[in-house]
Amino acid sequence: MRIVQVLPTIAFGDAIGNDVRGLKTVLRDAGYDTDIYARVIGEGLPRGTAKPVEELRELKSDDIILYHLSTGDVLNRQVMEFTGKKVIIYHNITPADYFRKYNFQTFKLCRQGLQEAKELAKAADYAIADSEYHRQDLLRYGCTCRIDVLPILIPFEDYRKTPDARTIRKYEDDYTNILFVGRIVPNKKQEDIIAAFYYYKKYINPKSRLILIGTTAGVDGYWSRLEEYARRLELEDVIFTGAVRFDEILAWYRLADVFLCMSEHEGFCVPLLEAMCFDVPVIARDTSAIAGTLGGSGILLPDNDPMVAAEVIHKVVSDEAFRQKILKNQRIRLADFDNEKIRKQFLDIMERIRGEGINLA
Amino acid sequence: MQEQMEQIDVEAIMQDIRKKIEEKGYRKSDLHFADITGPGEACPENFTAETFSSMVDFMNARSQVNCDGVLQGNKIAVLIKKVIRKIIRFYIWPIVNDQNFFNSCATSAMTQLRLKLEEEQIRNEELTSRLEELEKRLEQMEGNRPGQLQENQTGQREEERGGRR
Repeated sequence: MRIVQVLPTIAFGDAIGNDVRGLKTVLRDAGYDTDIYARVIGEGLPRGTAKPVEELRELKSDDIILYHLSTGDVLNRQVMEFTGKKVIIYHNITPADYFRKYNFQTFKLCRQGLQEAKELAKAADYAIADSEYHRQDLLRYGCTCRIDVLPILIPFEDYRKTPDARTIRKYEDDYTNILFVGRIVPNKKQEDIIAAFYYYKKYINPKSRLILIGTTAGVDGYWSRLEEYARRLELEDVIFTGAVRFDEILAWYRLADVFLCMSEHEGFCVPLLEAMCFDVPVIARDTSAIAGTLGGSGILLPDNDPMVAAEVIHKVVSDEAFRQKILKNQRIRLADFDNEKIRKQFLDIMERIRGEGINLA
Repeated sequence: MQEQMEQIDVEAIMQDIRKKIEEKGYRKSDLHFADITGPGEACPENFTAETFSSMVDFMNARSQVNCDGVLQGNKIAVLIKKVIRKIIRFYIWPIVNDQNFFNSCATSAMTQLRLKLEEEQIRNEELTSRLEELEKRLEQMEGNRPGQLQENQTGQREEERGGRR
């Protein structure tokens, strides 16, 4: 019996790629015959991480296919024709309308992806959602099979690596560093972060800096608007880092005083956990999956009012007792993502699917 | 036993913060993100054929980037710039070639689009003209002006109602 993971694209360094590789390790360590198959294999991945999906052959009816669904792709429909038990691992599809103005191709892919997700949800033998938010999505799509919630595997050991010394030397000063990590895309609402920073810098603390780490992911028009917005607000100390090395990201997390997230739509938001890992207090707008990921920790903002966000930043930075409360809660929450817990949960799910056959609702 | 999280009264914090904001009298910025239009943003309500056409002409005239332009300055400055330009040529040329290829494709696509737009405009004008001609012929066939035709129809309905009573 084999357990294979299949997905349209596996990329180096993104949350899904890390999760897929982590699960492969778990399965291998547990003695399963396993591999990863992808239509597109990104650069920078260690040799042998994944094989082209065309090489996936000779599946038997008791084999398990873990299909990672996160975007529109031809593979979404093809996978249903594969022999074996089809398990959907749902990672969220961003609502298409966010991309309509900026990238029509991405807009079409997201729209197509949502349609395909609805078809897959109804046809899957089993489903795994990486958050309760996604579990609810699958139910709305008409999923009738059993759905288990299994958090993403986070490579915490990577965060202990050495941060970039140059970045730390350059920016370790008396400035308050406000950080957000995430692709520069409309659903993450970086403009609201800039607006909050505007009020914070202008009315509360001029010695502050906003760092937005992330690449444009094909939505350059949105980035241009953000840069122009910051320029017309006459805001200094707004840093768009673009693509950075991993050790530079580590350095920024070390330098950060606050992590500010104003996203309107997030499927999970791994950077929230990364910030917690570095003991950076998290302030995030309460939308989509964010409350689920924070699990009662951090500070949730009820809306995107930039003045309120600015004052909350000030409270977190200046009130040490308050800050320590937040950090304590974050450490408690982080324990829920302990890799050992998730590994065990995942293997239990695999045993269940193996032992009980299809339609496990 | 797992440690319990400390309760944070976010509601109370928000109330306190909103009060502080009122007291401080923050001045709301007049600039909103929605006011910023970027080059990549489609705004169908702003489209004019003339502006579109002149932009396509501009693209056709300027699509190729040249990195071997005339260098400005005195003799020594020009010499130094020439040397620097030669040294970094290996890095710059591939970027310039990529950009020029993209520009050619984009310009070609926009030019095709303009041609298609012009074709559609001509076709629309022909169809509009034909529609007007057909309406005229229909009026002639009915033997009435459009207003009189409606009055006749209304009168017919009233007669029918009177008949049913």
